[in-house]
Amino acid sequence: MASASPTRAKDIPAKIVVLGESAVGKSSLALRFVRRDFIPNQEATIGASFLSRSVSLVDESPPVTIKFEIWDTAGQERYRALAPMYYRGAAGALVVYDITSADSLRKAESWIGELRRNADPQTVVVLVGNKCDLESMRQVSIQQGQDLAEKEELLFYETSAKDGTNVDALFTNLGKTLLSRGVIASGVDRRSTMSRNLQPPGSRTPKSEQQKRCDC
Amino acid sequence: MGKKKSHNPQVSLNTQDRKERVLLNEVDRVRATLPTPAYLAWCRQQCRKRGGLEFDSVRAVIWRDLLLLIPQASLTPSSSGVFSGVNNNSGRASSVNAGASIAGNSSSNSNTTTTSSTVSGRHFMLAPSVPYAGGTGDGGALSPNCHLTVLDCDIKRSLWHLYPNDTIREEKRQLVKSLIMRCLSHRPQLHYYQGLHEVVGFVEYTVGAHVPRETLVAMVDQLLSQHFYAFCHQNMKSCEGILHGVHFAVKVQCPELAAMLEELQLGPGTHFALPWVITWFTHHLAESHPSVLARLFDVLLCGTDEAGELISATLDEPSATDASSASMRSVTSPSASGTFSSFRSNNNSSVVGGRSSAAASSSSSPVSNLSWARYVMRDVVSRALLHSRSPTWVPGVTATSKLQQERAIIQPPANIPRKHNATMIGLLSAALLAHHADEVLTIARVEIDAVGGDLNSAFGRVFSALVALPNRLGDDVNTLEAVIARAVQMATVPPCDERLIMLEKHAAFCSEYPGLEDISQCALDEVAALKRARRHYQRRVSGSVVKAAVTTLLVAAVAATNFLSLSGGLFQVE
Repeated sequence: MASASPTRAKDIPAKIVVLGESAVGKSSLALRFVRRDFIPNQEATIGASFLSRSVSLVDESPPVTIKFEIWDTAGQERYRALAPMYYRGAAGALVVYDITSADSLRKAESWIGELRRNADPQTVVVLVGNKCDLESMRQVSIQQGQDLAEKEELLFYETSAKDGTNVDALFTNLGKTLLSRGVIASGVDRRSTMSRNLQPPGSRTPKSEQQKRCDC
Repeated sequence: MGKKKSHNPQVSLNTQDRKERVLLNEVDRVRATLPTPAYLAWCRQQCRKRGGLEFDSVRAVIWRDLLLLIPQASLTPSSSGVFSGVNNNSGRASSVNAGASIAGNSSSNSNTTTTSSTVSGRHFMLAPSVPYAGGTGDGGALSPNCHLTVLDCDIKRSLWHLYPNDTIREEKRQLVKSLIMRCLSHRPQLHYYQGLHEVVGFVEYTVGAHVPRETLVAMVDQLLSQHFYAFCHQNMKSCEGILHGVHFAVKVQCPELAAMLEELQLGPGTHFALPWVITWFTHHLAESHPSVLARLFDVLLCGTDEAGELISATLDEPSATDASSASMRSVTSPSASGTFSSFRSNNNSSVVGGRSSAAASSSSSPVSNLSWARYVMRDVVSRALLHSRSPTWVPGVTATSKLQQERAIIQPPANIPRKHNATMIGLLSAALLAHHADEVLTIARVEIDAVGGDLNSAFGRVFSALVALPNRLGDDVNTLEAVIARAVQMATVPPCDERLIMLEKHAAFCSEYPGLEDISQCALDEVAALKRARRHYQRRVSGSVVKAAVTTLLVAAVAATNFLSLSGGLFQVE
């Protein structure tokens, strides 16, 4: 599953979580980025899957390599209970909607709200309108996506996992933003944030956070 | 469609055909001669033996009977309303089905079920047919539990490899969708979840060609209500307990692996096993290794509940209410805030209820941890009773008074589902991990080394390797059978000393984790309860029966471990 490129210790790891409604193309987006390929007969994701790819940002000074560790989550509402495990401690979150479904944009808004309430405040959120190759079926205009992104102060991209439009650009730009905002940096010990997420479930979450999340 | 599981080409086709026919005749003969409970026990034996049922035509008969022949007492009041359809259903089965042997089976089936094949006065009957909700079965007034939008999305991207032909695939997709919608629309307490479509699609693929449509509907309906109801809640709560159970079983089988998983923060939540558990490995194996998956389903459909039909018919009150739906209602109520990470608070709050209901054990207060444990115990005692093989303890009219004594000690809570067969998938998952323990340990060490010892960076890669582990079952038949044998062994009642130790180990295990203390306490309470039960029997029962009873209870005590751990999900239902 993981990227074939060997992991080097100097790579800067960046945990990225992909969220959004069912069938908006979360897995396809992640697979397009990691494997540079589109699999038309993609199946529903159950639980979550993990992929990674290292990307060198040569125009940074000094040049750096970011290792994107991507957690691709299941879209159905019932799996929402699992999501905190993946988005907490994440450097970046892709909230994906489908430009051919107005409903999926509303679901994206609710994900943004949940991230605002529960994720680390410094997590960089990217709003992604996927399936932009299906222009004829478009229900969500670019402007609507942009408006939402501006309102919430998010990065915004329209992508196509199918033909690859903007996918690499999205991740490259996300990487740069993470560096410039200091969310990730070489030599930073992320253990403190990570271990908090992945403790045995009993000790994972303060009660106040749970109550806030129980909207499902 | 390659329905036969023969790997040898033409030469062996005739041999395979002959073997298939012989097996079908054998099934027919056994069903015609044995009483239903014994026949079902024989079916389980066939499912668990090396190689399993081998042919889909045989599976169609045995899976159907395992699913559809159920004790009358288990039928819910609401479902008994449609019971009049049963005979029509089997009648249709024999007239519609082209396969002569199956038609024969169906008619003998209706004989066994409609005549008085009884255990302690209760009949075994075919599960009721599934009515159409709203007349058409699709379209019209849809119950929200079908989650139609998600179902549609999932159906559209399913069955790719099972049906390479586009037209056939589209037909099958529509069939699977209608099966799910029809079954869910009359069970509002069960909710569609992503993954269920794969399970139903696979069952249809395996037996769909061998049973009439209405039988298939009834099978899917019973599959959901007996085996998958634990995953059909609106939230993921009941899965979590099973996942904890997987970790506990791994810890018993292979402590080193469990330690590594814990170090990597992959235990005891064991979330990588979520897709294994809630789809019975269908997500990983249906498309790539359907015959391997069918073999696993043979075992999984047996559950761990060997004596289930036999005993629950004896122990359950005939007047029992629809336990399952009552419990579901409590689970799906808005107050049940089901998130994985809210585990702690929910448990802590239910500890109070658990302890208080321990004091008044027969109270019908909301199902608490302890009453779940009691229920589990009842089940386990039942199994042990069967194992003891003492005529006095075989359920029946003569044993009734003793069983009533039994009930006085181990009081089943009022509102819980009668079956919790979900444990077998937990055991199979644990067996899979334990069988590949060395390999997983090697992968983990390599990954940790590769990232310079940073466990967090290794986490994702080990997670990926673990998630894909079921694919190894398709590698060779020896691995497959070894894993199955291991799981079956874990599901069987082992010697008592060893099991008592395990019960205490489980208590110790749970006490190590914040939030699991109450489950630990629950295990200890059960040990104490069993000691009380033993004293009770020692006083009341004389002579050789004492010995049998004490042995039985000890065996039961010990067998509780798997149930306690693997039914952890049960503990969390409030």
